Amino acid sequence: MLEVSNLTKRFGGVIAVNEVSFEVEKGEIIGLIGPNGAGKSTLVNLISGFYLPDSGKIRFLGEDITKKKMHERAKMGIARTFQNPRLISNMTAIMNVMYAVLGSERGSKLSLVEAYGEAAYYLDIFDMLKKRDVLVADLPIYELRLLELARALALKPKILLIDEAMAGLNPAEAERVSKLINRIREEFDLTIIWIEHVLKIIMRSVERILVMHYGKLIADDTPEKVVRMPEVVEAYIGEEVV
Amino acid sequence: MLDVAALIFSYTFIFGSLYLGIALGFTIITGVLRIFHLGYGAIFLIAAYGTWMFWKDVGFGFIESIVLSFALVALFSFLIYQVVIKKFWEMEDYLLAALIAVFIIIEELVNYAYPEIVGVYLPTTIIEGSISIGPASIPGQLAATSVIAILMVICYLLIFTKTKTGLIMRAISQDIFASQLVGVNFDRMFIVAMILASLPPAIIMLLIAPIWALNPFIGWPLFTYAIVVSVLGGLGNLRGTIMASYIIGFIHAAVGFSLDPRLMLLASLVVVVAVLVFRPEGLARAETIW
Ligand SMILES: Nc1ncnc2c1ncn2[C@@H]1O[C@H](COP(=O)(O)OP(=O)(O)OP(=O)(O)O)[C@@H](O)[C@H]1O
Ligand SMILES: [Mg+2]
Repeated sequence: MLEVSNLTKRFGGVIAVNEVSFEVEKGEIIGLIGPNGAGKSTLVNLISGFYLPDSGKIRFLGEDITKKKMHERAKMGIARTFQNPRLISNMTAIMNVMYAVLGSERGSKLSLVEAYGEAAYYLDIFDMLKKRDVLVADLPIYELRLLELARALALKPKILLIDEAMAGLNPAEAERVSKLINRIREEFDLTIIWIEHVLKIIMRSVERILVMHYGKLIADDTPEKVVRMPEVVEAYIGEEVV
Repeated sequence: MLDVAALIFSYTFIFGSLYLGIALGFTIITGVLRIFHLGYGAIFLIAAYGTWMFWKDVGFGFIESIVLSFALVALFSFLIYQVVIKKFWEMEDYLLAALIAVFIIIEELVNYAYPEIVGVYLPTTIIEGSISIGPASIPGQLAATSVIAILMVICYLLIFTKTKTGLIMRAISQDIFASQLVGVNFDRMFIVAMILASLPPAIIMLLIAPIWALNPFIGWPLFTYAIVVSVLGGLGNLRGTIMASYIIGFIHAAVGFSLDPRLMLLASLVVVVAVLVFRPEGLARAETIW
């Protein structure tokens, strides 16, 4: 469903993503790990259209989307979350989700009341309905992460790109987020690429792991195999892989 | 003494509403597109002289000419967006230069086609003579213009708070990035905002045409009011623009009736500069249109 080939992105002298190629099948849940600065976020930014690549191709659902704009990709079914949540801070929680409902393809056919109802539904999945009228600026990081997931889900995406859902959360919160991601994956039949800095957290949830290091894809295998690869262990020297 | 107070009070309302109407479109553009539309003054000219052109030169009826001039204003705003704003989106200095150049070009064209001696006059009077509120007597047309300006503001607030388009525009005005993320085609929304924003100045222009001697350079003073009010209000925020309009209205009324009408604009500019020194972001923070 998603096909990335020879994708490269440079920032000045830094090659943030270097000739990366991989394919994602429908229904897969893939972990993307790598040390700080490995290029994980940049890869997600390229797939979601936040940056355009210097070279390489991205195909989604058989269509070449390499040059498509971010809002066009969102409409096609590519949704994402951010390492640092990016929501509209002067709006309430539900307005943020409602906005996504209205922005989506079906949004033009919905009335405001219907859109509100849908937004409430997505908030409820993440147990955020009680916070619907709270301004985003007043929400703690845990709830911001949930809200970003709710907003992404409201787009009815085909593929969901999650950039560090766990960063900044305590273990109990992280556990809950992880459960929720697994739940929505099944309920909404999602394909997911899930970035985490450390593998331990997503090890049990994913079937396949991509490892990036200095912009290169250095491993693409099951979690069990990946943690035994010398290149991976080396990339994480001084850090904790598992 | 009481009479002066009544005058100041009524004219605060009259001037304030008038400035609000003049600045409404400018605020919408600054709020939604986050650009300083230096070509805004051209809208007043196109509305007034467009109506005259369709009426006298082309030969349409007066009402039809007004409608056609509104269409022309909308077309102008659409083209400004497509040809100028989009092209120089990331180059603010070029953008500002291009917009003001467009304004001057329109002005020169109007001055060429309809110099002041032509005596362009638009009979858009709704209320003749003057009406008195207590001891104060107010030109009826000004009162009508004020009321219509307020009605327009209410309409636009309803659009911004109660419609899908309005909600999307408010969200764009806060965070264009988040908008792209949820699949909103901001390009289309910008066009809608440009066109929506071009109607209030056109309407106000036609309403004040019978009482404000029309000339090809009338765009400047009107544009100045739009800028003064918007800057004081905190660029691109309707709440701020409403507050600022009536503050400037009050200053003009107070200075005009108790000191010297010739000091009105000067007094308000001094106040604006003073406010900006202490509060550079204006009265309301301009993170959102509403
Ligand atoms: N907008 C940018 N401008 C310049 N350099 C950038 C930009 N974005 C990323 N980089 C650089 O590209 C490299 C990859 O960064 P990226 O954020 O993709 O890493 P990451 O794997 O997500 O790291 P982390 O685990 O810290 O989130 C880094 O060297 C970073 O400094
Ligand atoms: Mg990152």
